[in-house]
Amino acid sequence: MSRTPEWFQDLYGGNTLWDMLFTNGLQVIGIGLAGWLLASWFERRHLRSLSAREAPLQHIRINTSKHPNSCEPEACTLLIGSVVVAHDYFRTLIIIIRRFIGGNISPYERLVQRGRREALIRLKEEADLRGIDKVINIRFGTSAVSGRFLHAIEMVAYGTGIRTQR
Amino acid sequence: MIITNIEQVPGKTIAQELGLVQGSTVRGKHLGKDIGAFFKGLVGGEIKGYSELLVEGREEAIERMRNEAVSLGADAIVNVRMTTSSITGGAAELMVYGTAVKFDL
Repeated sequence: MSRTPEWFQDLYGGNTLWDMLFTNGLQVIGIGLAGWLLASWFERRHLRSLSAREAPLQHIRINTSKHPNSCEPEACTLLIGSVVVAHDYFRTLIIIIRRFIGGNISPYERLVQRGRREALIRLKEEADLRGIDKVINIRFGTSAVSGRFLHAIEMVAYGTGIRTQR
Repeated sequence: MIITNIEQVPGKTIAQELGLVQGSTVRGKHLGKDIGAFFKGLVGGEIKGYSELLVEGREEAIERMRNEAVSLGADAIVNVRMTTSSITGGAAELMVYGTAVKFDL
């Protein structure tokens, strides 16, 4: 068996399989934990920014009815807000383990709720840009989109924006 | 061309329904963006590359639906619905469909 080069041995901890697994495993777990800590920080920051962005948009009313009451004629446009969200890898591992147990998967619930709030805020921001103050017939969609290396979820919110008559 | 989610356009009466119109696209990002998404996956949160991919795809699908409605001579598209699904690794299909209608003059 040929010897591995010096730099390879230094990086991967040696010639034997056990050495390599041990060093690599620690590296992978270290990166995973770092990713998880960063993800938790990002999540808290995102929740704060969601609250901050929701506050000035509260005047836009949203409902699921199909009937525009007292609306300006022809002033209706389709509005869409969408976002694609994903977990960090460490949490993905935890979720795989929890799937064996069954029941609620709360990390996913939190992610999906965050994504839906973000999609709704983007829809309201676009309504605000167009001077629309009421969105009717709102519909939500969730779908799994997967890249070559990553599984992500798309959250969509769409509805009809109308200008209420003065 | 008015495009809405609801069944009637306020202030107008529908004279004629021209039928189903639809637009769909299948879009994939190039490998560089996918690798970028892998690194973003380390920390989770929004994957902007995929968000842009799907927003562009949706606009393209709406454009195709609008073109089909224009070729039928429609004034508006009502009752619009959308679907998204992952087709293969790195690609997603977006479909938008609705009813093309003509107004009373």
